[in-house]
Amino acid sequence: MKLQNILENKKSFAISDEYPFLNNKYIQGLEVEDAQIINNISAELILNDLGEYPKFKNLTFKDIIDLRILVHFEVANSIVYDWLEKILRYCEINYVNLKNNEKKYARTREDSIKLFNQIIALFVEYYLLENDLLFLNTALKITDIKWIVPTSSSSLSTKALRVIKVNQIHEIIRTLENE
Amino acid sequence: MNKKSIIVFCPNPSSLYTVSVCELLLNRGYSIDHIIVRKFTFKRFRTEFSRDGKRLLIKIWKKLFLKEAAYPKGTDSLPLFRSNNKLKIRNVREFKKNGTKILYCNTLNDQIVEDTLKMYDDKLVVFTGGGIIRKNILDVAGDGVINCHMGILPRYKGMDLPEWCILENKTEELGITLHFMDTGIDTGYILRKVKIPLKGYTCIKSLRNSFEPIMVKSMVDVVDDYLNGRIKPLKQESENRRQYFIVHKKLYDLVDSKLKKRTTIANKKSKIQFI
Repeated sequence: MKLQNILENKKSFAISDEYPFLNNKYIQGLEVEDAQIINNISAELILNDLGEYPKFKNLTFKDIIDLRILVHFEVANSIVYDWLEKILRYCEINYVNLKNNEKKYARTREDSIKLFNQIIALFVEYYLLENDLLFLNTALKITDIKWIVPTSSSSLSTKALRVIKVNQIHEIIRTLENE
Repeated sequence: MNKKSIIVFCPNPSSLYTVSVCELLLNRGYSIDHIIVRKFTFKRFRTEFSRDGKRLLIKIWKKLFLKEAAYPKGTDSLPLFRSNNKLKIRNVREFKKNGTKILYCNTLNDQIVEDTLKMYDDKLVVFTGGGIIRKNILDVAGDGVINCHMGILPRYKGMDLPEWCILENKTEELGITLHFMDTGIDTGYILRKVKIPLKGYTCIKSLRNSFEPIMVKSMVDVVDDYLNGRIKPLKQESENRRQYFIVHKKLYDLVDSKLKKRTTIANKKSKIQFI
């Protein structure tokens, strides 16, 4: 069960603001079953909260985190898929602009870096859930973009997320090669 | 024989695909009224380079400089098909002697192209490359613009489809679709689907090369059949349709390694059977 893995790895998430949901106080100290019920209810709330997909430029950091949490809870329903497919499509169709323009996607450069590293994480996690190589492919392409590499002023959590996800991608490719 | 005018859209004057389609159509008794060639301008280079990167340079080197020499000898490829079918023409200019008019344009959506198409009342446009066709051209293209898509529609839309079929272990889905273009991406009415079995190819390049003669022959067959009322376009189902995008270098290498493994296993099996 993925949830159990998440709870077991809670400590590693604790350093980051990527998983505010998992750091939520009511998960702490609960039995796995209880936490599971609470989290399933919360996943449902997140799903209801997600609503319609906005334009990419209106996409928030919270939206991506919500999607990552839903993917972690294996909520791969049509709403989640629809959001992911639209984000993927935007990244692919606008890839040339994406490579050359870092300021367009968030208020600051740091926010853009953070947003796109979250998108990489989301795509890799979705690949692991559904084995959908299109998402891995786009994640690979985004990791190639130079301005998305966290800078010295980027937050520790963004830097850590980047390292974890890039290593994870390499591991996935190695596994695929040996299949 | 049907008297529709045939107009061909062409990506560059020495495109082997274009000249092969045109020459085969001539051999079947059709006359080509106009060939509209997209010029290779700096602007085009810049746009395509920002999309394709290094791949474009390799493509230019092969298609504009090496031409037939770019293909490995003795394999299923367009040059072998051309020599088997005694196709001699190497540049669209050579069609002038058959009465074909040649028009050069910056893009296939230019006003001059629109005006040229309007000159013909009853027409069919054959697309052999040159970029996206916009609504202004589609609206004046008569029966429509026929395109040969390198994947089986409606499931496989977009780009690099042979690679995606192999990556998804759906080799039975390798093939091409002849369809009419519309304003969507690969969503127009389907004329014919041709499935191509995966033979012992050890790299994606040789597999792709083997598609080209099939594309040429299928295009000519479909034009012939359509003009003689032997096929009717069918609307695409909108379900189970997916758009694919350019494959990243790392996954592209994975395609080659998958093909190699597949061939090695097949060879081993055939040896065992032989013993």
